[in-house]
Amino acid sequence: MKLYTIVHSFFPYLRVANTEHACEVLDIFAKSKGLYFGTRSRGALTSWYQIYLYTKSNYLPVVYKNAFRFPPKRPSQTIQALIFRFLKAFFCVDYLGVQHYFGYSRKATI
Amino acid sequence: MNNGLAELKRGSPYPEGLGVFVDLDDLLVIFYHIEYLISMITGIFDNLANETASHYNISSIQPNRISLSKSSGNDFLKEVNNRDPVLKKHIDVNRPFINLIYEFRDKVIHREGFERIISPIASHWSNLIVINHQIKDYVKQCSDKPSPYKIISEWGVIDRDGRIDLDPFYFAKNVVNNLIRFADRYLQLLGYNTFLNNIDPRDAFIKDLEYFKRATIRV
Repeated sequence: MKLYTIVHSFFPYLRVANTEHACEVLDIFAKSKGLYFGTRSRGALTSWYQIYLYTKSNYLPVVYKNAFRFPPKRPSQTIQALIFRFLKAFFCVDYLGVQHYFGYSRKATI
Repeated sequence: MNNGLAELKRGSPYPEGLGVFVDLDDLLVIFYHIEYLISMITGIFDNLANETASHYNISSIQPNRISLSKSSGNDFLKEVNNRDPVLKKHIDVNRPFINLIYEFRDKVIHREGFERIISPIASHWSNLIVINHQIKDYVKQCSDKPSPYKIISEWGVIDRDGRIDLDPFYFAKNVVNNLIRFADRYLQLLGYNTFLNNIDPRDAFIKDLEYFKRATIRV
């Protein structure tokens, strides 16, 4: 059975057309319950978004868990602000996702 | 109820009288986040512009004119072209994307905000933004394409019944993906090094990154 068929059986009101979309739905659902798969504790919100950022970007200086890793020196205030804004932007998209898939008007929960 | 159904088919900016079809809490949360996202993205554009000014010691431009926006940052952009034509070309190639965001920023920060419409695509999928042809063209130039769901494009454009709407979530996720690609290449052109050249497998960050790639659900 394909993943998106399984996801559809849990969320019959959602239209899920492919595996990538099914993964997105599952990830957002897990986050709505406080689970951040990909971090060792599964509950580390900030770490999840920090690591996710570096799966998408190779050239941003790496700031991870309040430490400057690559290069091991403090980037400019401007770049630090840029990095933090990216974390907030990803966070914002996931909040929109929670609302989109599991918003207040969907009364049924699993 | 019949009036409500007719309203919904036409699309309505006014949720009163629509009863159980629409939850106002959804509307508030969605528009809170999408409007906040726009202001954050223009903040990222400003960060990139300021970093460029600092990198190239561009001191002849007033601080409020250091911008990737063509209208307010025209002199700054000319200066960037003088110092680094390749970087300027990167900005130019992404001009439709930059214009798209600044067009929305003006609405969100200075004018009426996003034009909201309640017009269901499917059950409980109804809170959309009304856009015009110019915005649709900008989105198209940002490599929008049809999605598997037919009625809606990858970037969330819904063109039906003589009106063009935009889904906030579809739009937001594609905008942020495009933004990270734009910013990453921008920093490369400014001379930033990739952390991939400095990988030490014993480093805690690299270990966590590898673990993340194995354990995350997100593709």
